Amino acid sequence: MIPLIKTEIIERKKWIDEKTFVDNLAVAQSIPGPISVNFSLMTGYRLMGMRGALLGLLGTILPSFLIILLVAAVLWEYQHLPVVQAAFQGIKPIIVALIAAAAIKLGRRVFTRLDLLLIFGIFLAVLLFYGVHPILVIIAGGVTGFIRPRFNL
Amino acid sequence: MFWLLVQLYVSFFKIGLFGFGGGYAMIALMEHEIVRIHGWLKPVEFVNIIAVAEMTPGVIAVNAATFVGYQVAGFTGAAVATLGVIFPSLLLIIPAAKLFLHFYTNLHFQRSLEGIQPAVIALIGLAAFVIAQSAFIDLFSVLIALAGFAAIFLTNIHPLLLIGLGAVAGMIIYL
Repeated sequence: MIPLIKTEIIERKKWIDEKTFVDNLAVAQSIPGPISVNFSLMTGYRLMGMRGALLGLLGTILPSFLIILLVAAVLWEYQHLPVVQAAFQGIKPIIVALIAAAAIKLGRRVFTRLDLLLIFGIFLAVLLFYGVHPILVIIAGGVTGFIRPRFNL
Repeated sequence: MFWLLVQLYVSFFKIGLFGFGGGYAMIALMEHEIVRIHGWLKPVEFVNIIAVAEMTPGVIAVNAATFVGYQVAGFTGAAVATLGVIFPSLLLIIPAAKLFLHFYTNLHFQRSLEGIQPAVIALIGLAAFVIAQSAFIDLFSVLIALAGFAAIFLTNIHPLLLIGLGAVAGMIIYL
């Protein structure tokens, strides 16, 4: 979605310049939440204050909100049809592949450093075998990032 | 019903609040809250919803929130869940915008964010695993996944097209 935003906002509407775009993107990646949501909030806010933030947010989520409701109300009725179930059974492995690919692309830094790889392994094991709440793992990650340099681990 | 909506909101607020690392990491959070803790959806139902959320335009995390909310409590549920998942972002954006330079260059903040990286990858791995449990029912499904995986790395194929091909493969194999 970000490339789309870039084309629309910088090149077509010329609301912000490249540097502002990159700054906003950096902030959007630093706070929790979907990046497109954060980015639209940030850009909207810097352009027009809170009103801008809300409008940008609305533009980002309203279309998909309505589409999903449409799909949920209509398509969901047909989910028990053999055709639909067969199609889904073919789609689900593709989604596994997409997610696995995303993990590898995003995890290049983690997978090439032994210390990060070890931490990743511990987190994954704890999630898979002990059913720990993912929130705890996120917190643990933040804490290890903070603590390790202090104790030279 | 009101209490259900409150719980729905709180769950998705937590998901939004700790949603570092993007959509797929948030899926891991969602699965834990929605399927394991609250039992609002069966594992298979959850995976189907994620599949639809992936296929529709928009942010997958928000789409999934809308869909789950709808399944749990109708239109109101959809609105509540969606609001819940974006609210942390809404609250954090003003301090973030104002303190941008300040906190962005703060060493401790940077380090914590770096520490979250392995956690995020682990969460994404968990999401893949959870969906795989529902997706890998036989050898064919594994082959579809492997083919998809190869296609992603060897070609520039658009994810939506890949999903379409998967649907076709599913219909050929399973009908």
